[in-house]
Amino acid sequence: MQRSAFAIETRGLEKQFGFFPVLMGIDLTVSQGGFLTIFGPNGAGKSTLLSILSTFIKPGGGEAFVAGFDVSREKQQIRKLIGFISHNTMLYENLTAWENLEFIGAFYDVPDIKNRCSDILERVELYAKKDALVSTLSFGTRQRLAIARTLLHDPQILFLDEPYSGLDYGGAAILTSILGSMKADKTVVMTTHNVYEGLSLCDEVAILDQGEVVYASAQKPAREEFQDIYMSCVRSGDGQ
Amino acid sequence: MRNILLIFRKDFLVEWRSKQIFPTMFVFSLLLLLVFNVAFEFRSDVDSRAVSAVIWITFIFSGLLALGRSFSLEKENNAFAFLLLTPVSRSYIYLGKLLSNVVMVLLSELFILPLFLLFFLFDASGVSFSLTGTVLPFLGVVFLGTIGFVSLGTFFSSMALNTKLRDMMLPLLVFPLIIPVVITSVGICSSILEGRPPDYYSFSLQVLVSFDIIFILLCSLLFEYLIEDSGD
Repeated sequence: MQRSAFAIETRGLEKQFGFFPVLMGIDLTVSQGGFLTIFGPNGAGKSTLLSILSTFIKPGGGEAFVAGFDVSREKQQIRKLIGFISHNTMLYENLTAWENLEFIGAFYDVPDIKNRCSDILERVELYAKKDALVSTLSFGTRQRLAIARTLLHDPQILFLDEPYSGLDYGGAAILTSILGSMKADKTVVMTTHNVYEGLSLCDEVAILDQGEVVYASAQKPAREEFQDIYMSCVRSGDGQ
Repeated sequence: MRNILLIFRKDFLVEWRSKQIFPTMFVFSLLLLLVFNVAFEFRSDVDSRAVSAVIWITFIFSGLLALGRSFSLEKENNAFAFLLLTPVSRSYIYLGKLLSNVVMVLLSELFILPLFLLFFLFDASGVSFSLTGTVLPFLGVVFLGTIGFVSLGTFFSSMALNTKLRDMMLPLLVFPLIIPVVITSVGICSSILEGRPPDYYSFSLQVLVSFDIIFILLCSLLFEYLIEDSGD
């Protein structure tokens, strides 16, 4: 078996739920330090692809490598290196912001966890709310806390599944600022519907439709040009 | 061990603040005991075998309430999915959940046992109470039997988590498999209440300990395969 030289590589990746195929032979590569944005209509398979890459679910066929590790056989090694931000905050409602961070941070053996929690909460402008229960926070604030929790162990590779969903202007600005500051040393794969947010940070783009990569480019196209490409590639009918 | 304790601490903190599982278990157990007491026509000198069956039915029914709720709390906001994303071993997640469920169920049982004594054994003529001959062995069997059914219940409640009929699925999955634990626990408890010497039920006790060990080992090994694809 040949390991990958890329930060992320998929070869003929397939997945089906029951009899319904969701991914049909996905071939993608992302270089070390690259930022790939995957666009696509609802049901295209974007979230499933990220779920496989982040070891949430196992692939149905083909191969996928993250940081050179096989997603089917070397899950634990991958889990130490990745961070995942979703439109679903995945926080414990009855724990405080601080407790949520401390709980997850402990599993990554984050050194000097208390200082790290303080730093990361300040970075997302939530230090003042560190003792607030998550159930009392607004959605945008929870999403910022989810971002903080994901960055706590300083992951090498970030998977962002519609991260701007539900974020207010301030939250979106913070996320863009954090992602921009990390671009130099982290590999990022983001899925989004939002052409503006999606194109502003990425180096590479791909369009997924009905479980297939219908467009991929290592060069970031201009926004107007990309919108034309998107409309011509997407067959599902709910393109923007 | 540290990871198991982290999950245990988190579960207790969540339960302490939400107060969803413990009060429900206690009230449900109390109601069940009342129903059984009425069914036995308010007699407090019931046969020891029947009394043992009543107490284990009460423990198991109220315990299943706690087990079902334990993973439902994880499902809220999909927080369990993020836990699965961390590099912690799936076996440790299972053992952490098992520890918190066992402690929660045992605490509830400790509150229920005095009421059980009051309702069913207050006037029982054939029952002799002594700390070393009755109370401690009885509590020991409650401890071992609870570990047995909670280990399977914790395992299957995570499986039922992703099914639409999870509240119905859990008893359907658990009841057939805990029959050996229930029969053994009821038998030993009955022997203890009848004042039999430990030699009389020592073999059953060994069987109960064996069930516990087998269930915990099997469930912690199989947990990873059970929750595969559950982050979706």
